[in-house]
Amino acid sequence: MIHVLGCGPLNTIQDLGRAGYRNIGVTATGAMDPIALKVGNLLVGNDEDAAGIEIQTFPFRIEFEQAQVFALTGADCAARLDGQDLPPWWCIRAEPGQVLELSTPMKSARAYLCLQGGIDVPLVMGSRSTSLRGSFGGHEGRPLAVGDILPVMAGTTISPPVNGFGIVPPAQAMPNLFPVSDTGDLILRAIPAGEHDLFGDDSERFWSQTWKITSQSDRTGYRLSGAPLQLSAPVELRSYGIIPGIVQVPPGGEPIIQMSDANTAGGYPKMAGVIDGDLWRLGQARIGSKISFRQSSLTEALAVERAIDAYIDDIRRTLPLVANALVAMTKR
Amino acid sequence: MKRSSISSFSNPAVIAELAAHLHRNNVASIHIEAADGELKLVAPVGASLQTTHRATPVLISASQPGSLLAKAPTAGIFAAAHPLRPEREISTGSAVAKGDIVAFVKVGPVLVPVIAEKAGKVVSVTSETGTLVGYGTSLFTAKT
Repeated sequence: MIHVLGCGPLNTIQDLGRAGYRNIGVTATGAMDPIALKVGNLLVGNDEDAAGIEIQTFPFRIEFEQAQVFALTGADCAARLDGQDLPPWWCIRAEPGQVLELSTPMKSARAYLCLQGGIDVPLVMGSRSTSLRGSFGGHEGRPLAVGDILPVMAGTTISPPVNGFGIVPPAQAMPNLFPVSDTGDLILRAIPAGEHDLFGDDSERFWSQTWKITSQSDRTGYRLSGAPLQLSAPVELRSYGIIPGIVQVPPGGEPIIQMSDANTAGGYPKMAGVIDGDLWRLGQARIGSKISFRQSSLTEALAVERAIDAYIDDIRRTLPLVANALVAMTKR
Repeated sequence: MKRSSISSFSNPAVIAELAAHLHRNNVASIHIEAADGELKLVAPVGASLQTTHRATPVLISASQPGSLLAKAPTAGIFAAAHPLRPEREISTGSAVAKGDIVAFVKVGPVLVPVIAEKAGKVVSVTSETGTLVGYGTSLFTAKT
């Protein structure tokens, strides 16, 4: 059991999302940075789709009511366990009564707290993710609040060494896989979508200009600012199904990128779709930061996904071996 | 292995038995640590493990004062800093407390912490980021 002592707005319980119900208007939800959630779960010995806490407002503070192996991944929040500094992407055991404290990260946007066993909230349509739009799932269908007590399911096997252990984060483990500009701006790979060509010359500007993530951005979508894009001629569109990553251009001309809590249907013209392998980076992009889009292909998108899968597989294979070896060596 | 006195391994018969055991299991070396000293048995370089029973015993003297600060917790690739915190590298002159994480050893994607065994001021860092280190290798020395 953990006890929430300090919490900003909009921190929620998330797993990998509620797939398969868009046809009845149910938003998929799920972690904005699914790689961080998966790695956090693997670190504590959970299945990679167990529910953890997505923390996007700080400071965040919890107390462990019992001994508990936990992992922190995603943004580096200068985490302290009873004042002891913890490295990012780290797994360690907390003793009863210890307090974990996270500060506002200097880079990246979201941290993930995974607990051995997984957070014990009811499965709703196959997922424990909080649906803020529908007010169901997660903990009472709402963001976490000070005073909440969250039960944790019985844990499994991995025991980290006394000082813990960690994982090399994906961008550092695969530096050539994820492009950034010379000035450090995020470069997102995207595939042109249905109405791309209807923007005529403006479609070129979509790819060439730098966009800023505005403060009107959240788990539902990111609204970008930059020189507006206009259709060559007005078109009437029927509503269509939406998935995370779709970049729409509303009448104002500044694009919106749909994210984890995206509506299931919409009607603005579609400019492009960000590849799945880059969505986690967008999930970690901060309000006010700059991004640009680079035209990609299905082949490249699949190659990026395969590389991410290989990174996860490597962790799944190597972690238990290292954990067991360290236990054996400390028993000498 | 029980952490007894290193003297219990100083008998030549015991060393010969250990060497034979390593030979049978095709192991090139063993390093035994005790509170008062260490014993290292190494098969001669280039020697065929099928033909030799000889090993070179090296008795390393007990704790040199103000020396070892931290050693490798496992074999792997040395990383002086966490990949997300390159500015936090511990180097010569850094003051550390007992139990601090002073570096990491990378085993594939896994980062294992290198822990300061005592408080002190770092005198030397003996490995460079990216180099392979063996289990128990001295990585940092310090003055207390």
